Amino acid sequence: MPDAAPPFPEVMAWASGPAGSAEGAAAPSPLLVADGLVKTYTRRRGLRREEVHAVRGVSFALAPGRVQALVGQSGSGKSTVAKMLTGTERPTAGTVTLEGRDVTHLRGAELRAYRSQVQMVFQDPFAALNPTKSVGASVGRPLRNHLGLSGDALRERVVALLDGVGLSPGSLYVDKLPHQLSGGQRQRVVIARALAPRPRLLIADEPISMLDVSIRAEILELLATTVQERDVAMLYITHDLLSARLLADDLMVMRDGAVVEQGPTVRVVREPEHAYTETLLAAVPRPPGVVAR
Amino acid sequence: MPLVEVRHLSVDYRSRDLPPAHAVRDVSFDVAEGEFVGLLGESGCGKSTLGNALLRLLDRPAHHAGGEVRFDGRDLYALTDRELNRLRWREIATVFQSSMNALNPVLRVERQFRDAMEAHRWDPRTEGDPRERVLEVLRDVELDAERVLRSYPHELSGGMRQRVVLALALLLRPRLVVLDEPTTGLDVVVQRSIVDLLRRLQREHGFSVLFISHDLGTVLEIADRVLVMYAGQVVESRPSADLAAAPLHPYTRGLLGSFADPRDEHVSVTAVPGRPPSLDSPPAGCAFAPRCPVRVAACAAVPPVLAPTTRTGWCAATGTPPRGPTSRPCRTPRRRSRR
Repeated sequence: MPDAAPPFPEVMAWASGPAGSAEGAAAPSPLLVADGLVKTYTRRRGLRREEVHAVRGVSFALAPGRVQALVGQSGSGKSTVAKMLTGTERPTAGTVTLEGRDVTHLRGAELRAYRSQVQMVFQDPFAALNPTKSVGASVGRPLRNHLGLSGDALRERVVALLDGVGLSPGSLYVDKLPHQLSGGQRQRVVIARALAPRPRLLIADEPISMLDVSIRAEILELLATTVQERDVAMLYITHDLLSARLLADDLMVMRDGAVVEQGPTVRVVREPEHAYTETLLAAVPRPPGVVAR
Repeated sequence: MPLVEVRHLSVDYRSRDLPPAHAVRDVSFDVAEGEFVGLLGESGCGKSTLGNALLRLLDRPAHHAGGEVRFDGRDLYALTDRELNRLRWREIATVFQSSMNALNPVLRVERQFRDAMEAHRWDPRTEGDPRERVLEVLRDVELDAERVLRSYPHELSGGMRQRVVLALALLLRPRLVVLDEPTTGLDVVVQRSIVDLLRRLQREHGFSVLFISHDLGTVLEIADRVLVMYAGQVVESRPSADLAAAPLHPYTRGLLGSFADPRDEHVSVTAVPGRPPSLDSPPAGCAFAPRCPVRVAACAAVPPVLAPTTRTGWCAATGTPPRGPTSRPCRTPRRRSRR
């Protein structure tokens, strides 16, 4: 665009350069460490048993206030890694530790307490909300379950959470049903619900890929502010390298269950070392003219 | 004469207990012989409805509410069903949204190709051996033809199924192919290969394409000309390179602002706050005005005017025809509303 000033609000620009990440500064001590995660599924084909190696030894650390992107093609094992972090899948091998405590094999009440610390934002905001429940009920559920709130205190927290994700005034949205909201508003509700139990870690699995392009930037911005202001750690799972570049401090690239490249986002995207990273970058559309904007 | 001429086409969705929704409103455009046209828009803007209207495939509650679609000079809405059937698939083929999942799961691929040929009366005496043609078109889409023909759809990957569907569309050598979100739901790397394949086939065989998509980067890269649709209307129609270099309609600018190359040194994107208007009562003036950062008072009352801006393109702008991308001063809004 030749104009001196863009007519639309610019968002996410701070995350664009190396200055946007905390490189050089003392890295904050990790919140969660995944060490050598392996997941092998067995399936039966007639009389034969076949092993599917979904994840083959993945290690990384997530720190408060930082975003780690996990990029790869469908079937690369990204979502299996997320499931092992939330405790919905048990790793075949390897450990997950939260602040030094092994949480790999939690059960019952302990698992429930752990899950209030680790929340998910899903891809499809249309499927992630119960269509028969109001926004207030969806966001209030984790407050009841994990924090034991009810009555006015509950409603107050729900309204504050909605305000916090840009649905303000929150009181206007509490009684709405999902179908009365746009895709972007629904995803804000999903984010508010994830933030309700005051989690330490957010796992966002393709949170913007179902949204219209013109509102994606707003949701990305909301995720970035959430991480900074609430000092939560985030694992951002995507196949979209542009959003990874905008949001994430660090990036790892997965292929066939293994991490092929890992490092600061700017370095990985601008100077990829692995051929597969280059393949992913080459798949980004490159319309003539726009790139040189 | 252009292959397709759409003139003042309107489509309404009518239901018993809701006010009619005007999904496509007074849309006019051409598709030239051998031209690759991209139809770009966001969810609910009417792009798929427009695609269906172009094929005369509207089904209740959608109704053709006015305007014409001329294919090779013939008004599609004046044809009898029999005339229309002779046109469909032979001259106008389509790849519907997620049609890779619409292959019949209990039939081998070969049978599905044979069905298409029988339904559209392939004549071996004048058109040659049908099996030869099937093998040819499958090789065209870079598939292992013999293997694919023996397979059931579930034995093929998503990318392969999409190639099969594309081959089915090209089977009878149509002059126009309408593709509705042909790459959505596919993996990024597979998307890239399908896009490259489609462009190569179009160049080699010279059919016309209407490529419907929400993916700005892909549309700009693949299409000769791009129609930008917003709230049921085409707001800008220009060659891709011009549109990319100097978008005229504020909405197009907004869309372009959401795109960047992740490999650039500095990467930033812009957002278009707000949401499109309800289509049951579209605003009297410009539909984009409520979200437009450069709107003037008149925009709310004066409907957009389609005005010629370049020799090859048209652009609708708020109130007055624009003189260029910098004709109106851009007041920068506050950088960020929250924070």
